[in-house]
Amino acid sequence: MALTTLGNTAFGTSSVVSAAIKDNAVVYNKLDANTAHTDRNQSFTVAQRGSISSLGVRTGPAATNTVTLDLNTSNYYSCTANANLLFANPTNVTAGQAGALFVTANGSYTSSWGSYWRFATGTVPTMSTVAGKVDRVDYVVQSSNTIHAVATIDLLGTA
Amino acid sequence: MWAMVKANQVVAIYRRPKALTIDGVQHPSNIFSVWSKEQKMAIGIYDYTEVRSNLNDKYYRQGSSSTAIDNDAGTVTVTYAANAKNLDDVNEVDENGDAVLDENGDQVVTLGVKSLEKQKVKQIAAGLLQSSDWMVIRAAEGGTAVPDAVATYRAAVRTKSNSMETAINDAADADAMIALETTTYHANGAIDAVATLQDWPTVPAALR
Repeated sequence: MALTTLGNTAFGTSSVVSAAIKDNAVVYNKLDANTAHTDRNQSFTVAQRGSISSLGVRTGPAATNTVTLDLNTSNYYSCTANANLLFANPTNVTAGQAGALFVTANGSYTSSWGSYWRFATGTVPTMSTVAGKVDRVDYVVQSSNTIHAVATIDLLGTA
Repeated sequence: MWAMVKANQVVAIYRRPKALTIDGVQHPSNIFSVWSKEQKMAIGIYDYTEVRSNLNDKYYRQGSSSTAIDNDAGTVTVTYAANAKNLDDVNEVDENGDAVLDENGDQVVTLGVKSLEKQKVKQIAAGLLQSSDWMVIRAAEGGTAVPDAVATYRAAVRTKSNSMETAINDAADADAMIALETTTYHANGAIDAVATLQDWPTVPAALR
């Protein structure tokens, strides 16, 4: 099939009535310097931000206290602990992803963790138990079942 | 303290809170203080109590234990028995029942509580007499005679030491031994009767 060079000529209104482009028929090679690409080393000239996915106030009986992060959703998550929480093994765990989880205490509650979460010395952290205190768990996914994590407790320093 | 119970068996004892992993879930150490008893029971953590006989360890040693698991109450209680130590000396024997001998061919003897107590009595008596031994030596070498009060005191110490050893020999069991060293008091706190093994003669003024 011969390639057709369109050049800079714009299509006229209604000039294409019915057409279909087969898969891989068009290869876009001219990179736009202002477009992010997944397969290029690029330097951003302004800050890039990941949105923080709010998991809300976690409350209620034990059955509803399990927090399962969907790592496809975001890199950053936040929630308020208003019950004893279980951060279960996340879904869509892919090596190389990194981010953080902000946990705001709303009382004397505990946070337990699924087996994917790996903290230093194998000891999960004791999260803040005073309402208003904020802890942060930074994570890097090493493999599909291993998430390295570091908890920093009481980042506000006061409730 | 807490115990981890699985299949009605105690598999671990936690004497202080610690982070732990149960069924693939990693829990922080503060679950022990924050979680309710029921929440801990749900993952197999029961309250743990050790019951030990509060007996005089001079006369009793800790014996075997028995464990009671109450799955309804979520408790584990371990009770230790108290075994009385040997009051009398024991001639040691080997696994064949033959006498154990020391390097001189003499029978190895493990002293019983009575012998140990009698040793203490002798040591105390010797200590009480020692402070006036110089007076006795001085008199024996032709010097000043031992003052009557001191001589009487020294005799009383020896008499008391002998009577204490007799009382120890006569003690029928550990409780009788304990009674020998127990001072009794009136309700107002005043001494009723000084313990037999503490009832030494009063030191005379000449020796104070």
